[in-house]
Amino acid sequence: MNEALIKQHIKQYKDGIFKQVQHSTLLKYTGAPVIDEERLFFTLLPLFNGEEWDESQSKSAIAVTLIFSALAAHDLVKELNATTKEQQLQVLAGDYYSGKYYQLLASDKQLDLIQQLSDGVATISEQKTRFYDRQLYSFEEIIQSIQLIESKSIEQLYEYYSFHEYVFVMKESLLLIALKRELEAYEKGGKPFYISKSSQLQSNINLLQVEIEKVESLLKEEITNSELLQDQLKGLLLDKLMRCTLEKQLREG
Amino acid sequence: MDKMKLKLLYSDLKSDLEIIEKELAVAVNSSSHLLNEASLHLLLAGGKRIRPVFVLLAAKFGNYSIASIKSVAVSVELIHMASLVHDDVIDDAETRRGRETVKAQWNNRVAMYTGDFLFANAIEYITDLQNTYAHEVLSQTMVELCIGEIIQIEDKHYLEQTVRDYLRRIKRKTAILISASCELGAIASKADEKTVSHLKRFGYYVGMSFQIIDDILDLTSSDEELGKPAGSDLAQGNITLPVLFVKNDPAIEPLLSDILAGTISDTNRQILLTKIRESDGIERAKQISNIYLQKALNEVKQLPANSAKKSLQNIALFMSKRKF
Repeated sequence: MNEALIKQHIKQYKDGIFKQVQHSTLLKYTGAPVIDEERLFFTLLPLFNGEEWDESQSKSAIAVTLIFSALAAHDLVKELNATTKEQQLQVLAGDYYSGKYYQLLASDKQLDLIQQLSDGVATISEQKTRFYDRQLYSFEEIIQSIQLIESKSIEQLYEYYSFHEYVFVMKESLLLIALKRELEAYEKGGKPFYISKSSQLQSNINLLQVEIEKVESLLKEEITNSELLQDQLKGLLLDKLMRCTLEKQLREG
Repeated sequence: MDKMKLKLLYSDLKSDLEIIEKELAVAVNSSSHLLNEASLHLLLAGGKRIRPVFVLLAAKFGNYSIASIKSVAVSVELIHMASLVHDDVIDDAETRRGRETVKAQWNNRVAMYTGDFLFANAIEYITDLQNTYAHEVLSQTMVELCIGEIIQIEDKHYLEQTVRDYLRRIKRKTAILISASCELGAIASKADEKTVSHLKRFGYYVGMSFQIIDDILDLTSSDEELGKPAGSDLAQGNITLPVLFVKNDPAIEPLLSDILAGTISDTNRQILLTKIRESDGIERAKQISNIYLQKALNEVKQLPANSAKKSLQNIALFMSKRKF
């Protein structure tokens, strides 16, 4: 699938998701749900690679995106003094999106997928709390946890529809994107979630850079040599994943 | 509410409720130390477990088996617990049932994760029930619960709201989960359609009656009985049924404006509460609660005869006549 068509699909999905959870009060006070386009891209990767994609898979992809929107809404609730109307509704926005993902899959009779995804959300919440509570000690543990938080629900979707062979590229790509975002925000003086909650990461920023390079090179090789991915998609993926590095080099340049 | 008295009304469910309690402890168990602590904190706070009780009693009208309905009972209680944890963030509540809230003991973020964890576990638990319709009911309930909370925020401080607005709000906020508990218990035990409908309606009417009483008690109980300042609903900007009936009373109106604006002194808060208690607002609200109670009892009458029928009747009466 070419880039223009992919962009069109992503826009259609986003519109579909907005329609699914449209609520005038939430829209007014919390805005539209947060949809991470990179994650949505990887949720739809098999479709973009020409895999058969039916109505149920579309609904399931929307459900997975809603899960991430729900969790993102709750990440926007302040640690203290969340007493404004906007903050109160942010709490409810997350719960509302969660209810909607469940409702969407229930109406599609996808009970097994509901079971797996809900188990995944519980695991993501646990991992976020462990991060928050600074209960992750080794660097490897931290990286694994970030990867899980970023990609668990999509992995479950892939496994459910037997797209096993896409899991590696998706998980490593989302890890890479997350690590790059974190590092970039940190270097700009911001307080990105993972780094700010981990003294291990803060004191080993060089290790994080090494990890980014490692994942990047691994992915480059995997994507270039992949017999599964279509050439057009390979180019797009490589461009997407390497773009951040190029931008960074240009800025530092 | 006197928990001991209530428990006597369903003492024959004691062993099954112990199973549910153990299962709840398993359900909130987490690999995260903090999440474990926060969830256990909630679990140990107790609560009436009235939703699981309704699941079990409703299931008595079908092929009752604790093994097949326990996941439903656990699920509805987890949803209730999760929504309370998130509500406490919304209300900025420091205590609940005399204990510090999760958000007070830790912070809002921990409360968000705890609620998300509980909601997710609730959904996972009920997938044991391979009945698509049951999931449509529960998912619709979860969405409606949220909409009820959103409306509550929209309606805050809005004195022009009508009784109908209030009833629509409490339907979503409270009645729908009690109704779903009854309906799901009946579905899980494969009760016949007519029975399922009666139980669903029974739960709805009891829930309405219960919430109206709850709102009355917020105005008529002492600070000690409530474990928080009486009139907290009003202080939060929530206009409840008794207040809607007396909001235009010249003796009440100015004090009402002060409490809603957050500028009332403690002495004036007591004066306002006294004036509301002396007005006919409380009695009129009780009458509406009684209408729902009667409707609930009428639904019970139409159920097949068994021991659970009497328990449902007694619990409905108890919940709607409680003193605090």
